[in-house]
Amino acid sequence: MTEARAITQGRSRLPEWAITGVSVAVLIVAWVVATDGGFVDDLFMPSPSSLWSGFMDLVVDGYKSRTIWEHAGLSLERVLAGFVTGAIAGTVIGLAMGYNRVVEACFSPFVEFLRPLPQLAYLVLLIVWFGIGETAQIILLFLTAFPVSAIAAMDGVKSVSRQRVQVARSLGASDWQIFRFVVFPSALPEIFTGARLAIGVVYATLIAAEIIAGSTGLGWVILDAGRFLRSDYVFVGILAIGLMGLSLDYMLVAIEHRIVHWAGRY
Amino acid sequence: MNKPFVEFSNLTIEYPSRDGPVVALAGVDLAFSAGDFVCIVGPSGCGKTTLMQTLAGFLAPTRGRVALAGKPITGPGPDRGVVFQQPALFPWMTVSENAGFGPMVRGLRRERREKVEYYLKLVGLWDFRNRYPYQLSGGMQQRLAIVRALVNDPKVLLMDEPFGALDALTREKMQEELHSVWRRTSMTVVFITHSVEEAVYLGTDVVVMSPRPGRILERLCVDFSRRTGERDDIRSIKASPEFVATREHVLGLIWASAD
Ligand SMILES: Nc1ncnc2c1ncn2[C@@H]1O[C@H](COP(=O)(O)OP(=O)(O)OP(=O)(O)O)[C@@H](O)[C@H]1O
Ligand SMILES: [Mg+2]
Repeated sequence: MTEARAITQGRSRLPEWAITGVSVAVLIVAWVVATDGGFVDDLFMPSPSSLWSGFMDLVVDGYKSRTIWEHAGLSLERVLAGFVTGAIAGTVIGLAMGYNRVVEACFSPFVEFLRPLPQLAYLVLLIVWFGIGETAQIILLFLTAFPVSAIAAMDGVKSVSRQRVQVARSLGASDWQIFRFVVFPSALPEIFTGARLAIGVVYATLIAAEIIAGSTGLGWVILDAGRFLRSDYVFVGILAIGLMGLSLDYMLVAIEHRIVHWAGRY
Repeated sequence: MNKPFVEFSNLTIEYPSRDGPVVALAGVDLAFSAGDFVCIVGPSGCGKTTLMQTLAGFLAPTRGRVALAGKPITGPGPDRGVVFQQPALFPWMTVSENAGFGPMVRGLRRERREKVEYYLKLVGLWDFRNRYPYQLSGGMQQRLAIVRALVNDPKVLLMDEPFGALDALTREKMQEELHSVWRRTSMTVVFITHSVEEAVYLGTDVVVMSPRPGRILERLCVDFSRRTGERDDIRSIKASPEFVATREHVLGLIWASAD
């Protein structure tokens, strides 16, 4: 990526972070001018000062008896519970599907069916089975992450280089050792790509889960505040949810760079 | 001649394809003894890689038989090391982990440490032992692939154009390194190359194959590689009239078969 840029750009003058800073600053200035200048009504877009007081409200008094940190914490718990279990289960099943045709034949109809299915379609069913609350929400997020991770892991296993497997076999590796030392590491880059994709869909689904099957969490705060036309709360909620998503993705990328530093470089 | 160590008898390989089977090898008969350095040359697509794959155990004969020490080959095994044209290293392992892969999976811990150090030093990769393959040049990667095979102490070393991607200087150095390893061990080497000069220089036997479907056109016994005393001077061997005559003879065979 950096190499490609070096080719297309030749010499660059401003560093990227400075350009990013300017771009964000321009947006903030536009926002201040539009709101404090009275061009846009506070109802549609809160001014910086009303956003700040909205934020302080949410921190100090909270929203419907919970502070914003508590709502954020609940959302994060759900995302992590659903994502971690779904991604791990999906990866394990996907690896087995890629390695063994019997396992693939057993699981692929379910995985293939689940993957394109809109999560809201089965959320209704989950509520009927588990009622409104944590269980239905976490199972929904699990089912969201599962097929994405499974398919990524399966594709990763299938794209393993034949020559590497042949070399390992002729050096004396057993089937299990070939899986452990050759197939699994080969699949890691795709497993990570799958994990990032999965956390993206899980995050999107979280909002729906909280709105329909709960009464806590950032997603629910945003929807509920919207009903009462509290756009300051809505904006605080959106900023919080966005920053949280960004940090989760950064964390995954950091782990990915540590573990599969060799990916795409051989 | 001793009792053959490696034996191909009436070996035929057909690859299935949409327009019927492709005959890659048509009745190959070839045998050689333990300790031979067999170089295989022939035009592109004549079945050299196919021949190697059957001996490695990656490919089962359509008809005929391949045997090692009298036993038919049923699959790959650590008695036969392979080096492909592409290094096919494990990019998630360091240089020394790559080199020690064979002993590692076979649970030979002490051999692993000693052999890895010995061979990495021999090919000048010891200082790079904690690097990753992507931090090595192409020639270094290929040396590592060869070390990985040697560390496992194979009885037969199968090499498919291992030096094809190297520059002339590195190539001659690698030829010398491989040759000195072969001389010091009892290893049998099967070496596929496009360079007739390389084949005549390194081999105890040079096998010339016909265009597809592959057959053995001629098998020559050469002895440049056994002349240990004079080997200090590669250039003078390669320029000697005897060497040139053999090389031209083999080239002539390949050219004649192409018409
Ligand atoms: N998987 C395959 N399916 C169908 N045909 C194949 C397959 N692999 C090889 N062949 C055919 O078999 C013949 C021999 O192939 P092989 O790779 O053994 O040639 P080679 O002598 O190693 O050639 P080169 O010097 O170019 O590497 C070729 O004509 C090729 O088209
Ligand atoms: Mg070939």
